[in-house]
Amino acid sequence: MLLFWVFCCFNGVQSSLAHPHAWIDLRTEIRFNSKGEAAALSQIWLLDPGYSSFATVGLDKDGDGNPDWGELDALLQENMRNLRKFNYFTQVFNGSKIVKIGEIFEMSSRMQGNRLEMRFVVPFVRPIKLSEKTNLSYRIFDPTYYIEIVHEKKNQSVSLIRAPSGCTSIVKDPNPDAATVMLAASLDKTQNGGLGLGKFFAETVSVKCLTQR
Amino acid sequence: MTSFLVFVSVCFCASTATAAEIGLDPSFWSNFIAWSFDQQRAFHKELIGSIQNISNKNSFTASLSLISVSFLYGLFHAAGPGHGKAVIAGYLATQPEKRMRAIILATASSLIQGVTALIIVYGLIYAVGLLPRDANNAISWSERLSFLLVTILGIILVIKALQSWKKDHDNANKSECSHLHFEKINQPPGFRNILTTLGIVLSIGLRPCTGAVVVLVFAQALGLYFTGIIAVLTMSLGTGMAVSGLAFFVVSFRSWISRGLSKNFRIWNKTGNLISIMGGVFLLVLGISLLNASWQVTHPMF
Repeated sequence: MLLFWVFCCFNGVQSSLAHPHAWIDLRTEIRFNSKGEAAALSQIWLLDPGYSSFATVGLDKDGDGNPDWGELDALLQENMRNLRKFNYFTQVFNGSKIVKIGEIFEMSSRMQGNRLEMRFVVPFVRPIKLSEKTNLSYRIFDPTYYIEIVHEKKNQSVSLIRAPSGCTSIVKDPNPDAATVMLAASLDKTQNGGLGLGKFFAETVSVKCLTQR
Repeated sequence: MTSFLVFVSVCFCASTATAAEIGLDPSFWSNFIAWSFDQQRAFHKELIGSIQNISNKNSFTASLSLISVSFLYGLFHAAGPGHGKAVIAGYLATQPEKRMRAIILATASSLIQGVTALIIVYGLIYAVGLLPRDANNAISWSERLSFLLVTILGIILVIKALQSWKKDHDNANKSECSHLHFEKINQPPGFRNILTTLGIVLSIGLRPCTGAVVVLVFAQALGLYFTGIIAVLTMSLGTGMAVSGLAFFVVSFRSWISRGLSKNFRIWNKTGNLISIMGGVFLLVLGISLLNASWQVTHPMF
């Protein structure tokens, strides 16, 4: 009986975090190196107007109606510093193995109308040669599910840069098996501090290359 | 057995998510939760969109759509599991309260939630001049205060139940009878009652929804001062209605069980106290685990 109680409480804690309060329209690029290996994942985050104004109010110090460049940059630096602990919301897989990611580069941010845009590139520590047997997949999601992150135009939001011929990418919709979602809500609390729900609402992009003959 | 039943009902209401684990049809509940998430997401997008619409067109239809979308957003926001519902359900399932008061409690706490968001945004951001991102710090402290109140409320309920148990015990020994028993089933008198009510309303209401804060800041940035207030208040109204529904259900369920047992008045009286203690412990544990979690989880972008 006591167990039930403990369960109830943990569930309450877990679930009280789970509402999407903002959204990000995402565009991604897989960058290949000169050897034709997948080497980095470039990301463009376009934040929704509500969150954008929440984040940028008061950054227009010179009063020209737009947030100052320097202030935007400071905001970007702060966001990236915080996101580092969350692996930039990015999970990359080589088959079923997790791909280690290095220090991000080419960070920048700007306003697109009333929406904040952030760009950065996540390099893979070891570039991956893709073939029929090795495919690459990635998911970009907020584990707390506070922010919903989606490829705005599905497949058109993903591009392959300098990819060998025969490479293709596909965006798969999240398919939260309802029972799994419920299980996640109760299990992940103990596993990683309650940050578990987001991945069940995450899109998966997979990149495949046919071997050249 | 009774306590067990009521206890299960606490769990059931405290978090719909829990229902899956205690063996109610899991697919129904999880589908329902997944569906309500979808609705929330959709309404959130529409909410932001309709505020923007008002700033572009400033028409009557745009305002009307904002009000309806805010209301629906609030309604669906409350449909998922959350801390306020756990407190309300845990309290009502274990304490003798009337339906009307349950609904007042639910509505008042939802409205206070909206008012807290208004105070934080208009008070801290616009009057004191904090940046919204810094105000988030204030929000997390307000949140912790609310969790602390949940804990204190739990302690108060336990003490109250123990006192009433002791009084029962003494009365039984003196074998004085009926009119004393009557006093017990009535509400505890005035001052304490107000204190408990205030405790519940604040323990829920001091935790403003981040969504409401974002919406307010956004409306303000577009120069729509009044629109933001309307949106947040209608949102609270929607939440209040959903939570009232839950409160009504819990009280009805409780009184249905207690009516079934009132034939044996003395047994009910004893288990009644036991259930009250359990309710108190439930809130106590809930409060502590929420407090604990509030230090562990900070969002990188809020």
